[in-house]
Amino acid sequence: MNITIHINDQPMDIKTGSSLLDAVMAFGATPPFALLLNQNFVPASEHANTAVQENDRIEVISAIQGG
Amino acid sequence: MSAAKPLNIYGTELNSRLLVGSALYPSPQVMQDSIKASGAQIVTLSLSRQNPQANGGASFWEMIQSLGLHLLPNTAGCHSSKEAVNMAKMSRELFQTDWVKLELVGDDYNLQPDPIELVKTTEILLNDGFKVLPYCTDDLVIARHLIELGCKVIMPWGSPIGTGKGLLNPYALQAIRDRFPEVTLIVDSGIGKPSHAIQALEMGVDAILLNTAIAHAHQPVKMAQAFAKAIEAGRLAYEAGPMSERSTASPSTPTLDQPFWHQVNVG
Repeated sequence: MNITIHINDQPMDIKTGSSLLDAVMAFGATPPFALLLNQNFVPASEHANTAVQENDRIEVISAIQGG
Repeated sequence: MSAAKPLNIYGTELNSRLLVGSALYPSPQVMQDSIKASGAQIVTLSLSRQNPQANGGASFWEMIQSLGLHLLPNTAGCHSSKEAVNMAKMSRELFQTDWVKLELVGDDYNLQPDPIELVKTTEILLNDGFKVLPYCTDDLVIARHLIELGCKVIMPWGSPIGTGKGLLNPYALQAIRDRFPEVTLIVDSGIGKPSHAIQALEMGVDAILLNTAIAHAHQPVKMAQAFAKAIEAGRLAYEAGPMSERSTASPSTPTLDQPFWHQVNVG
C-alpha cells in the first residue's frame, strides 16, 4: 500500500512504512543534503529511522551560492 | 613596524579583513578566481532546495570546498525566527561549522533586517551553541542588545544589500565602533567601491563583507585585487592614526629663512 507525500513541492507515492531516507533517495536526492520534515529540521542521524506519513512535506536542501 | 593585528572571529584569528560572497559571478571559474584574488579567508554561502536534475548543486559544493576557506553560511531569505533556526541547523550539519551569518528580512523593499526577530533569534542560536554573526542595521541600541546577548561579532549594514551606495551613515557606524571597541565590527552590505571599504577601515571597522561589488564589476578578478589592497590600506591608515582636520590652511613647507622676494617691508 502506498502513501502520498510531497518532496520539494512535488507529489510522490511511496510505500507505507518508508523512512525519510528511503523517500528522498527515491526522489533522487544527491548527498550531501539536509532535510526538513513538515518544516522541522531532522538531523542526518535520524533520516533512516524516521517514518514518513501520509501528506508529509519534505524539503531536500543543499549548498548554493550566497552573499 | 609592529605586526598587523589579526581579525578575530570568535577566537579564530585571520590575516585577511575581507570576507566575500560566492554569488552573482558571471561563471563558476570567475567566482573561484575572484575569491582567490581577494585573499579572503572566509567565504559566504547559502542553502536552497535541491534540484536532482542539476546534480543537486554538488559541483558548486566541490568548488567551494576546493578553496579551503572558512565557510560562513547565511540565512538569506528568512523572514521568521523558525525559518532562520532551521536554516542555521541545516547549515551546521552540512558545512560542519557553528558560524552563522544571521539574516532576517524585515522589509522586502530594502531587505532591512528585522531587529526584533534578529535579537530573539540570536539568543536562541547562541543558546544552541552557534557563533552568531548577525546582519543588523547601524542602530546603536540593537548592537548593544546583540552584544549583551553574547555576540562577539556584529555586522551592521553600510547601505542596503546590493545597492553599492557605501556608508550612508558613517556617524552611526562610528558610534558603534566607539561605544563597543571590544566587539569585532564588520560592515556587511552596501559596499560598492574600494574607497567605501577604505573609509570604513579608516574609522576602525575591523573588516568588510561584500559580494556584489566584486561579482558585478566589469572585471571581477581585478576588482577583488583592488578591494584586497584597499582594505589593507584602510587598516594601515587606522593603525597609523590619521591627522586631525583643521579649518584653516597651514603651510607644509617650512617658511623660516626662505628668500621671500615678495616681502615688501624690506628697508
